[in-house]
Parts: sequence; structure tokens; C-alpha cells
Amino acid sequence: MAGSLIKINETTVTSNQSSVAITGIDNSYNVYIVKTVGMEGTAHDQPLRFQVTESGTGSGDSDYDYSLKNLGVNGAYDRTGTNDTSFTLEFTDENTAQAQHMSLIYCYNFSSTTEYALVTIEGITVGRTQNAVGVTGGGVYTQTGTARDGLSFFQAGGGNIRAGHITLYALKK
Amino acid sequence: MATLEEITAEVTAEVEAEKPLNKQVNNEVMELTDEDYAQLITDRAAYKYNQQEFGYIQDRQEAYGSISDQLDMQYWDNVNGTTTWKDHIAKVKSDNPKPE
Repeated sequence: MAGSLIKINETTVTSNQSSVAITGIDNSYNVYIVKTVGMEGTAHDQPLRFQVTESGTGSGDSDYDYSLKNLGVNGAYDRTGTNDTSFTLEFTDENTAQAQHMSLIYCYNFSSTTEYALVTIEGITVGRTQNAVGVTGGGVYTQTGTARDGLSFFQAGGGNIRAGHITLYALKK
Repeated sequence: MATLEEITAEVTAEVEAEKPLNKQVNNEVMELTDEDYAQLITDRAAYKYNQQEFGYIQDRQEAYGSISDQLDMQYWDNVNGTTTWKDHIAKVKSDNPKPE
């Protein structure tokens, strides 16, 4: 349907950042989509992760449950977490400086203060040893009481995000 | 095996050595606040502790290979009387040991 995707915000990473947040989610729309393209990390073999933001700051509370299936050329494997401090994506970098991650993250209920925030994830990492690893799944952020206004991305075990482009869209009601 | 407290101490020293660290919110770049640094240490330590305790599970999953490849190994093992599949699984387990 033409005109149903509305660009809300975008940001480009051009230097090392310990985290990169994009905000702009409010109660104007029901569903938002965060698109990440060309996300690169500085640390080898450390996964790209993300948290929901509250007033622009990533929430590190242990309220993230998720289940992902990673589809590598050498086989499929699971990524799950309960009461974790963030959602996970695939590794951004494994013994190569060229690994990149791209994904679409659908965000539901973010502006609610009474309902859990939900995400569904579809993405791919290229440039790893396995060349390409697809990611599909979703998660729930089980803390309520404060509206969530965006997502914040980082490398979990150390390192910085050194490149990437993040765009926030809304789906027209 | 390191305790979470020991890993947190290591990560704290690591982050101290990395300072100053920046974050980007939309297109604004700023240094982390004291609260941000504390959260970063908590997140990084929790991740490293979990990797220490459970990372072998994910490493094994990746190294086992696809089910179809494993079935193929088992078929040819049956035909030829070899132990390729069993040897492969044993190697993956020994290469990625469960923490004691």
C-alpha cells in the first residue's frame, strides 16, 4: 500500500561509539520498524545486541526474553535468553574486519506503559567464516511502567560500533 | 572459573582503560555519563560471565554442522563401517568443553 511507511528518524555512525541509539517512537503509530544497514563492530567475535530505550537511554535491566534461529550455511542453531539484559543479534565480526549486519526490527507496544514491548527480528550477517548467517525470531521486554521510545545498539563483550546506518519508520495506522 | 564479581572487576579495569567512551543518540555524540559507564560494566560483565558458563553450547551448535550433513555422515558410516560421525561429534565436544 503506497504511503504506508513513514520515516521518523535516521542516524549514521561515522566514528567509534560504545552505543548507538535511535529514538522517536511514541503513541502516534502502533507499529514501528527499525532498519539497520552496514552495522560493523571493532571487536572480533562479539555479538551485536540492542536494548529498548527509555527517554533515549538503553535500559539494562534483566527484562529481556528472546528466541532466535540463526541460519548459517553450515547449519542452523538457536539463540535464546531469559531475563537477559538485552536482545541479541548475530555476531558482527568473526576474524574478519569486513563483517556487517543488516536487519529489520519490528517494534510493538513501545509507547504503552502497561503492556510488554515486543520485537520481531529478521536480519543477516555477512562476512563471517560462514559467509552469511540469517537471523529470524523475536523477543519481549517485560518491564512496564515507562514508555519505550527507541532502540540502542552495542557490542556486548567489548568494542565499539564503528559504522552503520539506522532508520526508524512507522507503519501508518 | 571466574566468579561474576571477579569478571566485573576485570571489566571495570578494562572500561577504565578505554575511557573516554562515547555514545551516539540519534545524531548527537556525547561521552557516557557515570550511570552509563556503570551500566556498560554491568552489561559487559554479565555477558562475559554467561559466555564463560554457557558459551560452549552455542559453539558446539555451530560446529556440529547441519543435520543433513550429519545424516550423510551416518549413512556412509553404515555403508562403509566407519566412525566419521562419531569422531566428528567427539571432536566438537572436546574442542568446546563444558566448564567444570
